[in-house]
Amino acid sequence: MEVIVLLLAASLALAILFLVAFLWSVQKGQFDDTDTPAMRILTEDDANPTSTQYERVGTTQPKEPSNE
Amino acid sequence: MATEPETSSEAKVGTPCAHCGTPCGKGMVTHDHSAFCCRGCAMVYDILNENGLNRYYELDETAGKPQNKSDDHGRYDFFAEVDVRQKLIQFSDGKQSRVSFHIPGIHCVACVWLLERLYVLNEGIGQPEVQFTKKTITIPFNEEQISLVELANLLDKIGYPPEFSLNDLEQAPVDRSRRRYWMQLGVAGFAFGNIMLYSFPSYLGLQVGTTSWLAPLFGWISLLLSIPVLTYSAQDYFRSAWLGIRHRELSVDVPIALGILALFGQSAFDIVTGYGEGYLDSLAGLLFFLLIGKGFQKRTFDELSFDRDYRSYFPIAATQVLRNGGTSTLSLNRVQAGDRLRIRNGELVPADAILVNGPALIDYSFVTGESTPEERISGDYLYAGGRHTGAPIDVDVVKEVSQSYLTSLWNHKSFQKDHERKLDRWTHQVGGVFTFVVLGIATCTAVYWGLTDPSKVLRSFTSVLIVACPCALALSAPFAFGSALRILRREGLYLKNGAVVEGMARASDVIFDKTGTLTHGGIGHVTFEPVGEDVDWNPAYQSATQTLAAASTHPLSRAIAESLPQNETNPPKSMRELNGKGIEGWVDDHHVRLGSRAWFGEMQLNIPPGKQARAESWLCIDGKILGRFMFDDPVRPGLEHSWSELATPYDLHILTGDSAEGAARLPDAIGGIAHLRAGQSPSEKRETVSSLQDAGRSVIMVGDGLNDAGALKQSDVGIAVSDDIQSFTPACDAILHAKNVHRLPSYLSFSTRCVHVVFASFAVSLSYNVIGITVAAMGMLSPLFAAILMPLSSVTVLILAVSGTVFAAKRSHLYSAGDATWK
Repeated sequence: MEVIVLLLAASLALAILFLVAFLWSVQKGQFDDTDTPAMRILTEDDANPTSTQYERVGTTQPKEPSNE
Repeated sequence: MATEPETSSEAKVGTPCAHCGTPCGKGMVTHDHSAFCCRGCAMVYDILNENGLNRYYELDETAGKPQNKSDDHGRYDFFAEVDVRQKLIQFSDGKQSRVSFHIPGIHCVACVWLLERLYVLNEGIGQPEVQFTKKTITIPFNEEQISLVELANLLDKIGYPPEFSLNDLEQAPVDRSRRRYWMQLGVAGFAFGNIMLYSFPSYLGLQVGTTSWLAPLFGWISLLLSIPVLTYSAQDYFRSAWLGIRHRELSVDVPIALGILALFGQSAFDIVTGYGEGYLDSLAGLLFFLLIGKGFQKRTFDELSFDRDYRSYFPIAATQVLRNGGTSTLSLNRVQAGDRLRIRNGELVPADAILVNGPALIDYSFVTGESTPEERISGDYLYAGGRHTGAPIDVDVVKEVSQSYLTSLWNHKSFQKDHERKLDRWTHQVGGVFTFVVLGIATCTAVYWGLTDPSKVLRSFTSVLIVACPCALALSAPFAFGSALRILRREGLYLKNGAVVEGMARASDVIFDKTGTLTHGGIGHVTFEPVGEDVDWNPAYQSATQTLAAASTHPLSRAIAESLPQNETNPPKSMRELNGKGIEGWVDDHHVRLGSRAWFGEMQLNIPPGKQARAESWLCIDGKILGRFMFDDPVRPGLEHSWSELATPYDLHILTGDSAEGAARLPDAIGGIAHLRAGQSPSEKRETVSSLQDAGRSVIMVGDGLNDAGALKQSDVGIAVSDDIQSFTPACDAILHAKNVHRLPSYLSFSTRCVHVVFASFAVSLSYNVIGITVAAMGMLSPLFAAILMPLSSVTVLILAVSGTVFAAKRSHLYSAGDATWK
């Protein structure tokens, strides 16, 4: 039964890890804009990959298929 | 571009532009089987088309903004200057840079979609990120392929010009309080979940046999976890309660703060002394749900505010001066920096602008309360909210119109009316008493149980404190009225604030102005009758008259201006407008006077004897009486039908400055069911209102913003009728577009129903509290459950208020009219 102490420690550690991760993401500004992502979902189409800003700079973008 | 845009006279004027939706006027361009209101819109359409970005139009049919502006290509050149660059560029290593622009034109999903695909238009652009609420865009780009200035010009070309007013280039500070809220919520949630886990054994009533150290261990861990909850997540409640106590006020947060302290205190005591496991799960849970409720409320409040909803803009239009010298009407939400506007006598300067051709007489009564006008000359900076008197001036807009700024001016306390807002006051009083009563009940409960069954003391004490929720009482009115405000705005009636809904519901009498309110004001039905055969009604005189008339915002002047051939000459050199009498001014060296028979008589201008027409305006140029304009003034469509609907619940009055014969022209269906008084001067109208009020009646006045200003101010609710050209007085409580006047019965019945909704939610909140407190006092309610019920009651009241108003709107037929949107 003493093993429960180990379990407690492990679960607590994991939980605290998640909390820290959450607080870190808030501080990094990931929760600053909760409205625009909701709009983006409505407009996503498969032809448009959503890589991060840093990958895209200076590279040639695939042009959207033109609707001719 | 693929083909040269052709100007075609065949396509119908008035077709909405395929890009921005404004009805096409004189500058119409047809291209690619679509009509555009100007070359600028056609160009943007082409750019999008060529690059495969047509989905823009699928997302929002007329997402574009009118591109009618001067070709000022060098506008963004100053972005290359070092200190300006510094404010815009977030990061740069010489080649890769990241810039942040504020783009006021962002207003919908299509905008976000298009702007985040900017890289399609240039290889040097990376993946931009738009922040919709702040209307900013962050663009990573390669400086070797596209410069900052070129980037700004590109944005301008597709119709999303970056803000270039230097004042606004300062970076906005990071929103600390929002982040703090998220962190508080995170900590509370984390603690709540984990503490609940450790409380499981006690929920299930398990006895822990040989390992008797387990229960205290769980207790201590819970205690440790709840410390950050108490010190961090609960901070705002303690702060607010403490501030309230210091000001000798019992704020709503006092019971909550007390409840939190009691829970923690008792639990800590129990755990430390080994007496029990405490109630820390309730504590963490309480804060978690409280914070969720707070966040939800804030979000709803934000959504009800003006600026977020671009569709519900101030229904005031501005007159834009086009490059060719002509003018067109532009609704306020489409005014952009760089536009040139013409401001007439009595009109407001809607946005910060620079005066182009002075002098101007501006008074800032709207802003400071001071109505002494100050003279301004060309080149001077004019702040938004100033009112101009005199001959028309032209101004160049510097910043876009701030909806929220204008609304806050409108609500300035110098325009507040003394009339009681009963519901509002009552809510305040009840709130204060409520807290006091709850504390009293909680104390009595604690004492009672202390004497009879001490095990129940904490449970009942804290549950009573927590379950009691006056927030619902305090929120019903704001939420219901806020929702009503939004609905009414969408349906064409713009209220100053939510309390006006209450005013409308309490009214007993409705007074109408005639010309321009009940009637069209003569537009389209004007004829000129010369005094005699030998009158020289030549084009020069016509032009001078038209220019003078166009400079005034009176409905009759506008009707005259529209009936004469439009010209593009300069505005009058000087002019003055006398309410109820007429206008006079100097145009192209002619002295022109246009006004009533009575006024002409005062000036000893002899009008030939004859029958007075129903509505007439006499014209005198350079001392010679030329003739008169006669107006046929039919009643607005739909009004006769709704008039009888109004007559039942309200006493109707019509006050008009028109003559008795003119007034008699009103159809019997209208004139017959109302108290009619003709020949009223503006001050007589105001006196009628106040004498009705002295008799205990509550009066709604519907009239012209400019000429009926006094009566509008005096009445309990003043509704100014606007007809594209704004004649706005800050003393009115609501603005109604002329085409919606016949819907007044619906608006009024809706307001009455909304007040009922508020009472209903009061009742629900009250019964919730009574039942909740009773059960809690009896010790049958666990604090955890109370913690869940409390924000639940707020949410219920909120939902009830909002859905109640939506339901009321349906019952009042506020959804059935088709042409209700203000574009």
